[in-house]
Formats: sequence, structure tokens, C-alpha cells
Amino acid sequence: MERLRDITRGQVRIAAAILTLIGAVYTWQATKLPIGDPIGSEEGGTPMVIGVLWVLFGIYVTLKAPAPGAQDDEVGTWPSRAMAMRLIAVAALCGAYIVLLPWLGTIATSFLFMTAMARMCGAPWLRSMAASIILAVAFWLLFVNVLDLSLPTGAFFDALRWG
Amino acid sequence: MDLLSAMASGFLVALQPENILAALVGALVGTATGVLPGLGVLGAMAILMPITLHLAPVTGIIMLAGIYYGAMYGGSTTAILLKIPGESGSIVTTIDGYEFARKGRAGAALMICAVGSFIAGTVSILGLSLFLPFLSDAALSFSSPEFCALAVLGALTLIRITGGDPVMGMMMLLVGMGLATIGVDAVGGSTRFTFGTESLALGFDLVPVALGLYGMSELLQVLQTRKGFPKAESVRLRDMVPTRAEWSRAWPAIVRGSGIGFFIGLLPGPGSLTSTFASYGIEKGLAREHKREFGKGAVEGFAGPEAANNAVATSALVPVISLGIPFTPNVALLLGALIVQGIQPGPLLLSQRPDIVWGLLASMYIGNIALLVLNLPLVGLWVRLLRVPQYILVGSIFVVSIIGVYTMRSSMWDLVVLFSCGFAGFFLRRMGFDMAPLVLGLVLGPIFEKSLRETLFLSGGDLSIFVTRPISAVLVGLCVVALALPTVFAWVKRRGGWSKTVPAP
Repeated sequence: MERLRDITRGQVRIAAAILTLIGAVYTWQATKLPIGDPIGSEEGGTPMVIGVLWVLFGIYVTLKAPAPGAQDDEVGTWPSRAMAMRLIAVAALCGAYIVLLPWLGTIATSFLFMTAMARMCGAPWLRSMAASIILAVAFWLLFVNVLDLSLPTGAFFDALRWG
Repeated sequence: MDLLSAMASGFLVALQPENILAALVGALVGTATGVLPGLGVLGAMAILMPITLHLAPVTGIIMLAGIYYGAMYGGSTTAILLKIPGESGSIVTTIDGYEFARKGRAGAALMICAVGSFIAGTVSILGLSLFLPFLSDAALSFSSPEFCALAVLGALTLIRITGGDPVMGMMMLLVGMGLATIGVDAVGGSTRFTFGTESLALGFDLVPVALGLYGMSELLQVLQTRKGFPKAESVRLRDMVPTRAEWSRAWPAIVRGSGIGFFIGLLPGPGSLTSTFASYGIEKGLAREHKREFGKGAVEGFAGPEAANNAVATSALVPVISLGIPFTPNVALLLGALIVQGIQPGPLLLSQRPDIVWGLLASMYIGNIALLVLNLPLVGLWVRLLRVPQYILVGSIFVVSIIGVYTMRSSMWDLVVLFSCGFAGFFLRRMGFDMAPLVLGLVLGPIFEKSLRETLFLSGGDLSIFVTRPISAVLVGLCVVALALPTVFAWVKRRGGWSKTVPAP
């Protein structure tokens, strides 16, 4: 089994620095909001307090960043190359879900998403597709027919239906 | 309205067929989700919360409370059968509960935990019914400065008690509070930090953030390792009856655990972990002839902590219902659900919406009975659930989460937030950042801002108002204690102060 690389103190420091940088941008934006009279009573007051403290604590964490220490395969280690590839694939699938949902609708998008997920989990094609179509339809029935919610039917299918 | 008639009115609400169904479905679905290792109570609640938001307010909250209970019960099941705690409150159960199960007594352990949880829940609900009117009356004397100080106290105690690095916790809390300010300003109605985009004007809703940070990041963990869910041994119904000797050892621990859990739950801060460790310590301290069994499967070692964990789950609702301030992420989600349903928890909730409060309390009782009556016979089903192929479970949970989040506001932005928080949570947790303060910050942020701005209006910008009002001054004092005490203890310990006064264990 591939040995997982430990997350180093420097890498935690980089993550803390990124969070601090976001805090700095947030604080800079907060300075553009009215603080009000008495001071702090308008919409810029609280963000200013939050932003300044965010940056101060962020700088402290960046400087003192404690190494998480490799505890198991969940904390303190980076994913292996194979794990990272799977994560990238999941990220791509999540992105595809957002893009496809308005076009293909809930059933078709969920079917494709679950089939891809099942394949990633090592299921054979036929089983993946069979389980995914049953589940996609079941979820549609649950949310739309039982809970009476509105879900996208898909512009593509709407266009087919209405010409 | 006296207590009995209030409770009776609560049962009238809870016993409506749709509410009984909601409590039962919530308890069952919560258990099913809680049984899946890794998701935890918060993950289970976050995944299922969007569904409850489409029901009537009382029914939705009752279902969510059922999910809360069910997920906790499911967490203790995996703690006993697989040595995997479903949530922090089940960590102690893994010590003796799992060892007890290894002796071939898994069924008896589950039965003791279920009965103990039922007794603890009953004690806690009765206590809650007695305390709540009193606390709600007391809360009427709270004004903006007190709420502001209480919000800070809740945040500080969470950061101090959870055991992680307090400075990192503080930073994550501030990140959560910062996210809460993005979008429409709840006080003035203007938009902030939107960079002119409609998406950011929608802000960061609690559900996609919490679901991403907890539920989705756990699913990513399952997917990246491809290990799947661990398998548990089957438990037969006839093996579930504890012996007379086991019962006689369990019930005093259950009674003590119930009391400990109830009172710790009333205090600000995450009581789950504290109460279970306190109960374990007390049971170990009180044990005479069975002391050596602790760590190797002592009945008291899991009966007491499980009872404490269940009692704390109920009494932790007191600050939410009476003050509108949550002290744990789980309860913060409940608060978020109430707010989304258009119900503002706080001192006026009991007088304005007694149907919600007493209906919730009564339904908790029904949920407790449901857990006992339904879940024990169904324990075989829960074990079998762990055998459902990973390829079916993971994809299904993903899609239910996605659809649930989407249906809340029909917004693609919420899906972007969900996925972003999932991946961010996955990596930040690996680096040792705790996500609980972020979720709490997202809930406490608006409470803190609203009360701070009102306080500043009230005092004309004079911050001394926080120390000139008696209740507020006490809360500020407690904030200072929460902030300074652990540091002082650590300093004294470093200087060897303890070794001179306290004998080593």
C-alpha cells in the first residue's frame, strides 16, 4: 500500500496564510461600509470587528502553525496519487452536475452522476446503471410526488416535449 | 397556563397523526443515517434537514428532533458494534461498549444503551418541562447586551472545550461569522460583500455550509479510500436481553448519568463530550468490585455515559428555546431550522408559540418511545444497512444532499457552496482545522451582530453598558474566565504548581 505523505507545518502555514489573506480582503471591503454613529451601529461595524480579529488570529496561526501530526488516513496526511485522482474526478462530477442540471433535469443528471459514482466505487457497468436509474426515479418520486417540491425537468427535455 | 395543561396541549399537538409520523420517520431515518460511520449526528441532520423545511413548522421541527435523537442512537450502535463513534458523545462508549460486545454481549449492550437513553431522555424531558418556563421568564430580563455577551460566551466555551487548538478554533469561528455577514444585512436590509453579484447577495446559508463541511467531506473521505463502510456481526433479537446481574449494575449508572447529563446540558458549551467523560469518571470512581473491568467491558462504563449523552441532548435545547442561542453545532442546526421556518427562538417563543415548544417537548417523548419500540427490533436491519454496497449508498447520499439543498431556494449558488465547502472541509480537517466553530460562527454571527448594534444604539456607543448591567456583567465575567482559566491552568501546570498540591493519579 502506498505510504501517505504527512502534512507538514509549512503546508498548514500556507493554508492559514490563505485564510488570513481572505480575511484581509474581507476587512478591506468592510472599511468601505458605513460604520455609523454611534460607532459600530451600522452595517460596517461588526464586519470591521470580525475582520480585524480574523486577520490577527490568522497571522498568529500562520506564524505558530501547529503540525497536525499524522494520526490516520484522515488527519495529518495528504491523499495518495490514486486518492487524489478520485477526488479530482468527484470534483469534476460535482461541477458537471451543476452544469447539466438545468439542461438535462434531475432524473437524467442524477442517473449520470450516480452511475459515475458507482463506477468509481468499483461496481460493474450494468449494476451501476440499473441501480442508478432506479434510485434516480425513486428520488424524483419522493421529492416531487410525496414532498410536492419543484425540481428541474431540464431545458433539453422541455424543448423536445414542446417542440 | 400551568405545567400539566401546557404538557397536555403539547401532547395534543404531538399526537396529531402527521406529527407522530414525522417523529417516527425522523427517528428511523436519523438512525439509518447515524448508523453509517463517519457521517455523525451533524452530517445526518444536515443531509436530512432540507427535507424537513418543506413540512409545516411544527411537523418539520418534530421530524428534525427525531432525526437528532435517531442519529445519536445510530452513533452509539456503531460505537458498540464497530468501535466507531458516530459523534463525540459516543467516544466513551467505544471503550467499554465495544469490549462488552466482544464478549458476545453486543445485543445486551445495545438494549442497555437503548433503555438507558430512554430513561435519560425521559428524565431530561421532565426536567426541561420544569425548567423551561422558569428560564424563559428569567430570559425576559435579557436585553441586547446580555444576548451579545451570551453569544460570545457560547463561542468561547465551544472553542475552549472541544480540545483543539483554541487560536485555530477562534480563527474558524471568525471565518464563520464573516461568512454570515455576506449578503443581505439582516438589520438594515442593504447588501454587503457581494461584488455586485446576485449569487453572493444570497449569502451563505447554514444548510449547504454545514452539509458540505460535515456530510460531503465525510463522503469524500469514504470515496477517496474506497474502503467502504466496515462490516458488523449480526445481532439476534434473543441475545438482546441483559442478565439480571447486568441490569442491576446498569440502572444506577443510568440514573446517575441522566442527572449529570441534564445539568451539564444546561450550561453554556458543548456538554456532550464533557458529560460522558464526567459520567465515566464518576462510575469508575464509584466502582468497587468491578473497578478492574473498566476499559475491558464494564457495564457501568457505557450505560452511564450513554445516558448522560442522551440527557444532554435534550437539556442542551434549553438555551436555544429560552434564549435563542445555541452552544453546539447540532443545536445550532436546530436553531437554523427554526429560523428558516419563520420561528424566532428566544424569551418570547414560549409565550408566542407554545404549540411549537410544548409540541416539540411532547414529540421528543414520542421520539424516545419510537426509538425504544422500533429501533431495538430493527437492530438487525441497521446491521444489514452496513452491508448495502458502497456504490449504492455513496451515490444516493450525494444525490439526496444535492437535491435537498437545491430545493431550499432553487438556487445553483447553494450547490456551488455545498461542493466548495465539501472540498474545503475535506482538506482543512486533514490539516487539523476544526469545522465546528465555523458552523457555530455562521449561526452566532447574526445574533451577535444584531445584539451588538442594538446595544450600541441603546448606549450611544458606550461599551461600559456591558459591565454596568448585572446579568451582562456576570456573562462578561464568565467570558473572561472561559478565555483565561485554561491558560492560567496551563501556566500553573507548566510551573509545576499542580505537582505540589495535587498528587499524581
